[in-house]
Amino acid sequence: MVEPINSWPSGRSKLMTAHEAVKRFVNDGDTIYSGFNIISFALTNEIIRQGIKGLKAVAGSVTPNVTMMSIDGNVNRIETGYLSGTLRSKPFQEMMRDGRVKWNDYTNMTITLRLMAGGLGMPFICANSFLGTDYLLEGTMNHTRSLKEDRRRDDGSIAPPYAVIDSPFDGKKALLYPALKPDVAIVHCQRADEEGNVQVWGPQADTKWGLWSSRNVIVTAEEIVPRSVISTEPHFTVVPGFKVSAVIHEPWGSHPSGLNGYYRADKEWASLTGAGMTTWESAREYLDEWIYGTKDHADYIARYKERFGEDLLNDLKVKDTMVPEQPARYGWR
Amino acid sequence: MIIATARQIRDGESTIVGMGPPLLSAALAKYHHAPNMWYCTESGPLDWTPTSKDLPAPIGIADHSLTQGAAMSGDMVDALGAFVNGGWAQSAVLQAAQIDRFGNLNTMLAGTFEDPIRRLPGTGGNADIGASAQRVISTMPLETRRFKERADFRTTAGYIDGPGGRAEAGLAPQGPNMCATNMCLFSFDTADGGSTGSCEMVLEQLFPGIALEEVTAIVPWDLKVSPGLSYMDPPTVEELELVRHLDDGGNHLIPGRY
Repeated sequence: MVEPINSWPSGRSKLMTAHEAVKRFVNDGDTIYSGFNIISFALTNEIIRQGIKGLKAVAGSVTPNVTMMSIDGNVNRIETGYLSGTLRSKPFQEMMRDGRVKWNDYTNMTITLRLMAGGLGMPFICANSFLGTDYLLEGTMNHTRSLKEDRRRDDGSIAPPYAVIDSPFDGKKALLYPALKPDVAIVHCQRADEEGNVQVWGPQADTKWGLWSSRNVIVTAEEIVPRSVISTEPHFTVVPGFKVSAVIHEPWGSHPSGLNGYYRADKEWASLTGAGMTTWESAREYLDEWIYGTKDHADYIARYKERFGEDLLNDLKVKDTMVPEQPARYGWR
Repeated sequence: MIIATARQIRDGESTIVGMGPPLLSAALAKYHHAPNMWYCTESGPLDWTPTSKDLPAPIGIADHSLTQGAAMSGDMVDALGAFVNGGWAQSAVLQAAQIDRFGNLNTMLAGTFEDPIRRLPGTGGNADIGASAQRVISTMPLETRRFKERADFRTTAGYIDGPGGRAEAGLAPQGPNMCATNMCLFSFDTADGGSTGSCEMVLEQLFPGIALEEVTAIVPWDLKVSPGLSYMDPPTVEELELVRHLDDGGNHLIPGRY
């Protein structure tokens, strides 16, 4: 008999708190997808609070929330195409140098396709990105701080990070990349319903395949809406509810990064508070005050308002939003 | 450099625009001489079409403003996959930390993996785009640490080791590629996208006031110079005004650099 993917005593609802979701679905050593476009800092902060250790972060591009998770060893391995903003952090650079953080470099496209392969149940996928480049040198994938050990197979041998083949169909050179199947995905979205139908708009980068490929998906939503809102605009749904394990209502869930149509990234505040993890001292102070020192994301936002007033936060809100000139109209008879 | 890069972008072509200064150059082209260019970035927005004269150039490839007037708000599989790898990107505008004699780009690191002088963020979509775009316009300041006989790390294939390099690697022809700097404009010596010619970088145009020797003193190999070497037209008032207006907030223009 097939196990239900997610069965809940309350019917289909997966509404819970970030604390419950992380406790239940994030384990030490997991591979975690956190993409570069819609970052759930609410879940990032909760993972740090709960002291989850040894995660491997994968995404087309990893973002400053991964830097934040690296400081206390929540993340110690990275597989990505781009370190977006993370190298502004001296501690992060230092840990990449001394091997406390291990990594392998791919590209935006190859990681996204590897997630797609994972989502589609394929063992590997093909893309020409590495052809003619130094990605094909032995030292690129198997350097001393690489994730070589993560590729160790049951028989003790090490799986290759990619494979160059002659296509059996036309004989031309082709490059294969192994599928990625993260244990858990964390993401923030504009809106979701309590079943976990996730709606996202704006540039979506690797989001869709990050969510399809991950065993468990935890979503924080700026707004929880009724099913009727979802079903009159189903084209915004990136994954359906059955694929999602937990839904959390978190206003300002992306802060200090932005959310398309809702608020801009809070760059000024990030530099004021040390959220950029630029030095060990500022990182320590930030984590202690803003993460370990708050009990959840609502508390974090409350502290922000208390410290800086509401204006600074309100000023980030997007004022000019686009509304459909002629909304799509579905019909069937 | 921003303006020299913008001038290489043609009206009506489909363009994939990379991180950094290319975002400003392509915005300038769009407002200035290429209103029908398709301005696309790898995170998914296709055909950014500013609806207001006051809209600044995007700051990043996933900038929220990229959906302004866009034809499509897709994802990476749409943009880098179908659009670029599918062969539909007629041009690409890319920044890089280094470029070499054969136009290969480096966005990975200076030094080596075991002994890095400086680690950089990595390729992003640069490698993916270099593999499949029909033509690449690269852009970076002319500096000795950036112009190398061989890039410290080749993230992005240009003509690889010379004629036939792309075909041997399994890649389609590409070109005419260009490289715009803060002192001059380079082309590459191949008429057919990398099969024949030397495929080496060629000095094509100097900025007004720059001497040939200033360029050859920085480039570490025996640089080819076009027989038709000329001076580039200086920036027009319109171009300068636009570029400053588009960089509202000073996110792209770093004083003394471009």
